[in-house]
Amino acid sequence: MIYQPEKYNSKLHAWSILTMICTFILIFIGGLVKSTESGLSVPDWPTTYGENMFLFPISNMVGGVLYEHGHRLFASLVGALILIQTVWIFLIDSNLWLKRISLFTLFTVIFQGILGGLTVHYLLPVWISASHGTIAQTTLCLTVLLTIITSQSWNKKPELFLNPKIFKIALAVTILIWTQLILGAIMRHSEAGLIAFDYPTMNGDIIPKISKITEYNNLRNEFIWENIENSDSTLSQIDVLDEHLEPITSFKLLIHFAHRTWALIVFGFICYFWFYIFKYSKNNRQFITGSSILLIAVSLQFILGIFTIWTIRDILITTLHVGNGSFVLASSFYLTIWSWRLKNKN
Amino acid sequence: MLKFKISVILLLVSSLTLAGTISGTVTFDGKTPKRKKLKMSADPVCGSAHKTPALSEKLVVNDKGQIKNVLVWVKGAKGGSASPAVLDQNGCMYSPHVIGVQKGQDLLIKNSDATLHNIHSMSKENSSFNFAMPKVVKEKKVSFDKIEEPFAIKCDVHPWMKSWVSVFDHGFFAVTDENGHFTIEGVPAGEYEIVAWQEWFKMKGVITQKVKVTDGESVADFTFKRPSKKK
Ligand SMILES: [Cu+2]
Repeated sequence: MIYQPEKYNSKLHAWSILTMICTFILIFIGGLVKSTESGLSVPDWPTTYGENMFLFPISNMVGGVLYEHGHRLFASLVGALILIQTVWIFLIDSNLWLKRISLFTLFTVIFQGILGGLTVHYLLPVWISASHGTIAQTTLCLTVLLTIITSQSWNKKPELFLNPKIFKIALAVTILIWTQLILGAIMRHSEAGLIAFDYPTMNGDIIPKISKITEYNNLRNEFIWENIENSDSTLSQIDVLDEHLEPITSFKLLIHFAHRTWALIVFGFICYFWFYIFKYSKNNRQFITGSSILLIAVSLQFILGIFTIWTIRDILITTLHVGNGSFVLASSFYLTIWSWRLKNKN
Repeated sequence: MLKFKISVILLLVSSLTLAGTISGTVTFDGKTPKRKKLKMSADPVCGSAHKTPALSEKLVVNDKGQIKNVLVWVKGAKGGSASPAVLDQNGCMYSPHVIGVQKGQDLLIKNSDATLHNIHSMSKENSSFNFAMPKVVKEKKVSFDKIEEPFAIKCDVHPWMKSWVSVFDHGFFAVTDENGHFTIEGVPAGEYEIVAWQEWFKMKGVITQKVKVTDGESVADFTFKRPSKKK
């Protein structure tokens, strides 16, 4: 990625920021579609109830259609933003890498749209839905990358350089977060998020055992029955949570436990990253601020994850957990790219 | 000799046509569940269709402990023909909440609401499907070509909307009314296993009992017990 001081275009950079923010909002809306289980409320694609999606009356956007159709509309907006960005870059810029990355971003967002259509067509298979969720995060990172490369500071000769080890740690952190997002997406789309209602224990055990699945199912059933008997219970949405209350399987137990455990690893690494920067790059305000934001975001993420369980998958909290998760990834990705840029002086 | 042949044939015919009725009541053993209010605010059409807030139909137990919407069927029965199957969407609720159909029989799905629904079948033996029912589409027909244990047909526009359908290769099944009562008529004489299914208990929690059907009425009562705390 060559930097080219003469090529800074403030309008293109502003457009990139807009695209990045809209992509982030799109992930939040997509998260709402899953949290409200509205993915199939519009059975046809790309039409909506037989009508052109852009002509579908707003008054018909009731119930799940509000989320699913809204998601499609907003996705079209993001697609258009990225398309314009790509054309723009191709018209004015000669930076080969920038062209490649913007074209790749365009392909990703198109592919993402097709995946969305496919998952509707095939009635939300776990793997298509989880891929749709994961590639969304990829697209967000690409929009972050484009925002960085089109920025003024990127195209200036840097004054401060970073210890190359910071890049290595940042890269490791990004990969760890990435893995955690994939684990989360698989858990979410295989309805394994509610196999336990307790934290830090899982059905009473810190480390669950596959051999105790029958016991866990009984424990969970007792909890469910108490909620059937009492209307003022915490599980007020029990009637719409059916699919999440199916018996626990070993796969669900493993993926859920993996997501919980990986969270600790990610958190640990981010703390280490933060300490490292405070120790060795105290003078770099960009990294001090960036890593502090990352640490705050991941702490918030931890709390949101715990409350997703404790509130029995409250729609808003769950979706904030998804949205903030992509923010954590994007922040870490931002620091990775910049630490790469600043790692050597030549 | 001819006389003998005729009497044998008559005997065979009469034994073939010998049929009885199975009836019974399904009750619940446990604390009477509180039915949850359905949150219909997401679609104004749904909420305004109900004078009092609509309640969940997942486990409806009356003050005598009798359960509504329990599906009861005669296992391994042959023949019989079920009455026409209609699944109506009214006030953003399915009516009936639980329904049995015969293999190949048309299930008429109606939309009595001034709003849209999607019809999402979560069948596994029969291929699953999902189609749109805009306001203007008032009727659609579907059928299932394989027998299948109860599966959900639901609406993703209105997350509380969920009905249960089961497909049989005979016509001997019924769903309990608000007094937990069911009647299955015209069951050919013989010994059968009768199965009772309830939504929360699912297939894992079905209750079966053996019933001998002769000419007349046989009784099969069922009791669903709330699972015990320990185990
Ligand atoms: Cu509906």
